[in-house]
Amino acid sequence: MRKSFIYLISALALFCVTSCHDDYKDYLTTGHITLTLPVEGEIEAIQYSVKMMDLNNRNIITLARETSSTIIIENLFRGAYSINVEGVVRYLDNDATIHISQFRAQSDYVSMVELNDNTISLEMILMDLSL
Amino acid sequence: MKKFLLIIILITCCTTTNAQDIDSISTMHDAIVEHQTIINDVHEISWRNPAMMESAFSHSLTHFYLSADWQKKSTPFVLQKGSGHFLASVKTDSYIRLGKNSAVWGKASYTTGKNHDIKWNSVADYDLLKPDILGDTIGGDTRREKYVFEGGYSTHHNRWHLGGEMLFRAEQEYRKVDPRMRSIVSDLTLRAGAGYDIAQHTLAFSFQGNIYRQTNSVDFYKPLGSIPEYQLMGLGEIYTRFSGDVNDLIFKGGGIRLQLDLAPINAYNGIIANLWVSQHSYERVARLLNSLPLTTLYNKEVGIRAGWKHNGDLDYALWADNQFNRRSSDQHLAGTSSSQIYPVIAHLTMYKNYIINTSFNAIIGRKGGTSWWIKASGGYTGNRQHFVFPRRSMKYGYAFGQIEGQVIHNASKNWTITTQLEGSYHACVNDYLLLPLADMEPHFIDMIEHNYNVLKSNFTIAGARFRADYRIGNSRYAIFSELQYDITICSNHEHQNHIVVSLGVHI
Repeated sequence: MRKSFIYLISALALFCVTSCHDDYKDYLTTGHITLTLPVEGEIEAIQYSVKMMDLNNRNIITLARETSSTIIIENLFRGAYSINVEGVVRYLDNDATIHISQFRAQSDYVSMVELNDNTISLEMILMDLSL
Repeated sequence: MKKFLLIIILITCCTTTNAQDIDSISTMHDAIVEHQTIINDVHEISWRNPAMMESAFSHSLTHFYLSADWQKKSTPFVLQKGSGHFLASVKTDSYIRLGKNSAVWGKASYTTGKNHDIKWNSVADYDLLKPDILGDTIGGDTRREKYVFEGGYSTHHNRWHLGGEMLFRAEQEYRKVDPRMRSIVSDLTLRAGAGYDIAQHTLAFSFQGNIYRQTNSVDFYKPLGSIPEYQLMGLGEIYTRFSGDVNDLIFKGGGIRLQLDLAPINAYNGIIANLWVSQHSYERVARLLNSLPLTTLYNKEVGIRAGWKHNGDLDYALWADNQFNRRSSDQHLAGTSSSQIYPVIAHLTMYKNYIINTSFNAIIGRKGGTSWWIKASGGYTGNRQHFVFPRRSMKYGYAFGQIEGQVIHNASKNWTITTQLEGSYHACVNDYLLLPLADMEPHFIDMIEHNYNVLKSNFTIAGARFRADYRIGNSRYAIFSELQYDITICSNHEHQNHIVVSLGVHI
């Protein structure tokens, strides 16, 4: 009987230890946002600002870039975001014609919850197609 | 009225069962001493194990009484708890021996009254659910009704002790003016325990399971005057996306507790030791959003008590307590909605709270016609909490000393008088507050700073309790009245008065 008592205590203690809840400590991730042209062509130069809002906590991140059409955001708090991009792009179309255009790109919802890599692609909305 | 009838039936059952027990004046006095003495504090943890209750008392005692509890603070110490309360209760509690080997015990009570000036809290059971609550800036008085039923049975056979206990609480808290909060709580706890006598000690083990549920809503009858209800997450942070009009919540949870006890068999000297671990969780669910879980609060506790108890001409006990609580809250991140159905896309542990209580206690006294005890305690209580992002932190810790004295005097053939005095001083030895002030709205800053300014104070507490028991003729019935008063004075010039008056009969 004494042995049974000890077995019972051990089993319940084991159950208690194994049922413990672990914290979710992976707060940060990395986001890759790539801007694409709505027409065939090659981006020669680009300047833009990015505004990302955490939909759950309403925290806002603002970034500015001058070179690449891909943004890598490190130490990004994991969550659901809305993204707004505004800027100017100079690109070459298939006829080798240079265009300079203002653009916007936006998404009401993107998920940035993967632990390592969150890649999204946003298509630019060109505002001014005049040369 | 049905509730009153139920209580009265319970009382009648208790008193009828108990009728044969008390047949002499000394027995009544001994029963009062045995049940009221502050040396019972050393067994407080052990008696959570129902297997240990059979040997808790050698005398039966049943109380039926009315009680009024009034508390008033000069300003709310914690805004979410309000500035005081007035509660009226009808209560019965009973411990009845069924022969040499078994005992039953139970409690039943109905409490009604008001809490005053509650702000930033629209739920019941704040201490249990904080910081994951719903709250607003207006608040106001709330009305409360509470029903409690508890009962247990314990027996021993040869060297084995077995026991079981059930505790049930139903409560509602509501407000009749905007914001009209209403919380309905049901809280069920079951305990089972077993023990074995070995070397003049009882080694025992108990398991406790708890199921908790609270439905909560806030209504505004005057829509133009409505204000946002915030989904608070700790230190003034809110779940912004679902704050405002998501006012219909369920808190559901529960947990388990395991406890190991070692205590000397009655009348023997020996070691008192308790070790316990528990884990409880409470999920906040938004009913309006197709039962979307918003947060889950986890409360883990581990504690140890170790000491020595001596029975003799002079009784004494020495023990040390160490208890550690870790509370943490996970935020469930919602994705994009489709017809008000939100998927949960990730979980993040955003709030952490560490509480430590360490104390050393000593008590000495003597039982007799005039029984007396003196108890001294000292220790440290610390509370540290932080929110991960945006970073917020608060901590405060107290070193405290406490002294308590009790005299139970058998004044005459029919009178037993109990006097108890208590004084303590809690000195705040560390405090710290960090808030992202630039990102916070002013009323959130005011709320946190108000609570912090009181919590980082030094507290002086003084209390007294007087009780008179009068046996009616040679019957087994006695009436009693009790007056309890305590005052708390903070170093920031705030104070609290607390009075409890009870009047009833016991058998």
